[in-house]
Amino acid sequence: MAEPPLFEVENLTKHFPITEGVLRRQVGTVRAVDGIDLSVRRGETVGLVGESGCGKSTAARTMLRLEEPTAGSIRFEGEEVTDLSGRALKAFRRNAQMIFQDPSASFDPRMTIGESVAEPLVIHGVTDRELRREVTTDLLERVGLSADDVDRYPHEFSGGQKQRVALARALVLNPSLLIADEPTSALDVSVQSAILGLLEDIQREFGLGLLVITHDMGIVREICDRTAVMYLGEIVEDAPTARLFDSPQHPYTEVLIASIPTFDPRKRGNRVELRGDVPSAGDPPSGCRFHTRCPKVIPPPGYDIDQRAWRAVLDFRRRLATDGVDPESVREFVAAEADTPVGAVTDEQVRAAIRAEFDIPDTLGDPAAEETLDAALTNVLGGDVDRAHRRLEDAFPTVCAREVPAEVWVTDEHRAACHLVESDGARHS
Amino acid sequence: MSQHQRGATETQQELSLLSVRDLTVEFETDRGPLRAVDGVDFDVERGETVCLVGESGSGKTVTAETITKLIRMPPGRIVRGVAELDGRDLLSLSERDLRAIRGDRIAHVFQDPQHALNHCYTVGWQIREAIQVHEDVSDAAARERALTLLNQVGIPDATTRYDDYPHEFSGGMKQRIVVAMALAATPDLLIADEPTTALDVTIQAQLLDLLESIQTEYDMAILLITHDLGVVAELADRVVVLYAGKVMERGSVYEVFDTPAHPYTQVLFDCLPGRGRPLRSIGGTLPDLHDPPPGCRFASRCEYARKECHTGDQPPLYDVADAQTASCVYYGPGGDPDALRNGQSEGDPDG
Ligand code: SF4
Ligand code: SF4
Repeated sequence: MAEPPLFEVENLTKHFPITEGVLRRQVGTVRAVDGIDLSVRRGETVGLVGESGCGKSTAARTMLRLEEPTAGSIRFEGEEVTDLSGRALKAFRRNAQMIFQDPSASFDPRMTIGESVAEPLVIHGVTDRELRREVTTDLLERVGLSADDVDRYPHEFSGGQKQRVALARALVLNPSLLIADEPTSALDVSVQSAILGLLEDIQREFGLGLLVITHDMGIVREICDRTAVMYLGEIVEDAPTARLFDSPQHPYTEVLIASIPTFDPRKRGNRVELRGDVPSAGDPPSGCRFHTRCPKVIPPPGYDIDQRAWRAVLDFRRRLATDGVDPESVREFVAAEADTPVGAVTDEQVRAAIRAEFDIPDTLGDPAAEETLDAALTNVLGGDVDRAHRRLEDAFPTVCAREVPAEVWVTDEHRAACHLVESDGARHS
Repeated sequence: MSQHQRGATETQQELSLLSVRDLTVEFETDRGPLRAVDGVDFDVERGETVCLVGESGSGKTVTAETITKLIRMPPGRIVRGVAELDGRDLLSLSERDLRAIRGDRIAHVFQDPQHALNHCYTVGWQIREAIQVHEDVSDAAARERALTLLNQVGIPDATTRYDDYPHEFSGGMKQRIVVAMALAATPDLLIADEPTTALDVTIQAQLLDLLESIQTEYDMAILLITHDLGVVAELADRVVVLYAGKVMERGSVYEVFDTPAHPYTQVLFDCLPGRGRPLRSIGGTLPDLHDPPPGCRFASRCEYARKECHTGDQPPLYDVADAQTASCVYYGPGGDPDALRNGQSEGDPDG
């Protein structure tokens, strides 16, 4: 690679302890950010995209050392940032700025806009008032406000205007890196597009490295040169944006892309659904962290099962391991549905109800697989959930639950961490 | 569908389920009265989904909350207008009669499920309560119904989870439980205000699916309040676009998405990022609703505005297509709507 990146993190990790009781004994760890690699070049806009709880905002704060990293390296202009302190840390913070989702929170309502924008200058020792005012009015104009706005107060501004002011303040020390955490998600669409346009202009004009943290694939596609997709503390895919959208390698990226609204009422119901919720970062799933929801989770060798049915069996198996399935509750439920006494509900009905709840088809097609599932259901009916779980686990191993997928470089600029990519190089190209 | 619903459908063929006319709502503020909703008209037919679309300040939530008088009065005040459910004006009902209608015939779902659920009680207990408020049934029968509802809204393992507390559920699951409570009395109309906005995209799709399926199953009308055109595309039969308290455009979802008629609707579509077309934005700001200027509410931000746009009243809703109307002079007498389409014209600033 030609030029070293402006900003680079390697194996960046941020864990939070889970404590219990008055003595705050540590009983677990939230692996909010769990060893991510990411770089931003000068003049480049990089997106870090993921759902809530994936760790993207914690990652951003840790990158600027607003949170202390648990492990990993942060390099800015080639220099290690993790061990900086005092004056050197101050210099780094001058060069790397951040704006947030809610601009209101970052203004003192008693200070004029001009004072707020100039505040970082004061902190960093610019004593000349005239100079400060000049810099401030110039910046206000560059972010699309007017020089006259310096003497107004935050409450006189709309949300979009406040975000412009926040941007002016972030730029006042002439940084080379800007991190924008959900910069438009609190704004109306009509204002959002203006702020996105402004970010693009400012990025070009100031030659900034820009890192945009967002949940919105539309925004990423609109303004980011490169995009990293984050899931449960890890980056699962990273590629030039156009390539990511044309040829996504990771199933999670595919789901995110498919969830972008079409804005076409004739294409209803095409949004891909993931079953279940994002698991907790305090107890991430084994192997590939996405395996509890992945529609493409790799089936066990030696069976011929439809992919959806396999996904359904895995969902069932997972429930056995987590909350369990209580056959008496199911029986009660069937009775309520059919309006019959509980005693009249047959075992067959209970089996069918469990299958229906998990969307498992009437038969798995493959006789051996069906036999295993049937035996597991018998175990459940007998109240032996553990046995049922073990049976399914032994008969249906999947590499996705067992092994952490290695990161594979599909091209020089495109990496993804999924066993499917590992097994046959590039899935789509 | 309950007996009484069926009877109503047969005898009142021509009446809309909900008919809102000239709804006008003000709020008392430090700076005097603020007119949040100004002469809003729309209908909701049985079994259909109507979306009220707008940005902040459009009046969409106030409109929805005024229908069952959920707005606080004061500071709110209904200046004029009617909201008729099967021909009976809700706005003139007593609080007691309204309470019977809320939840029984009209149920609400809000953006944040947190507020609708009481964290001190199990979800099963809360749904059972919601059932028993409207129906005189035994605890056992109510429990069975509650279980069915939980299962219908996709709460896995309903029997086991019946005794769980709200905090034991994720955000998406909580919203499902709120929907289950709303369904408890088999309402004819569900008013849902930004029901998916607080949810992640992969969870949003699940909830949209749920709304769609319960609508079919219960033959229930939905009035959906949203800022999200993606959600509108997924669910709406008809669309009402609001801006600064006024209706800008109405039409079927196909009409509005295929050929948005009003300049505001048109530019709103151009503001959506990531669609591979040049991104536009709307300059300027919402007019001051304490003292709105004369003429079209959108005039100060409209690239097609002409002289007459700044005088008189908001233009009437002129016919555009089959079911589509737009409040814009270009569709009125002597207007040339082609000048607006697809940005083919820069408009004529001086008329
Ligand atoms: S490794 Fe397996 S579970 Fe993970 S994304 Fe790839 S296919 Fe899905
Ligand atoms: S009436 Fe005038 S200002 Fe209003 S939308 Fe039409 S052209 Fe624009």
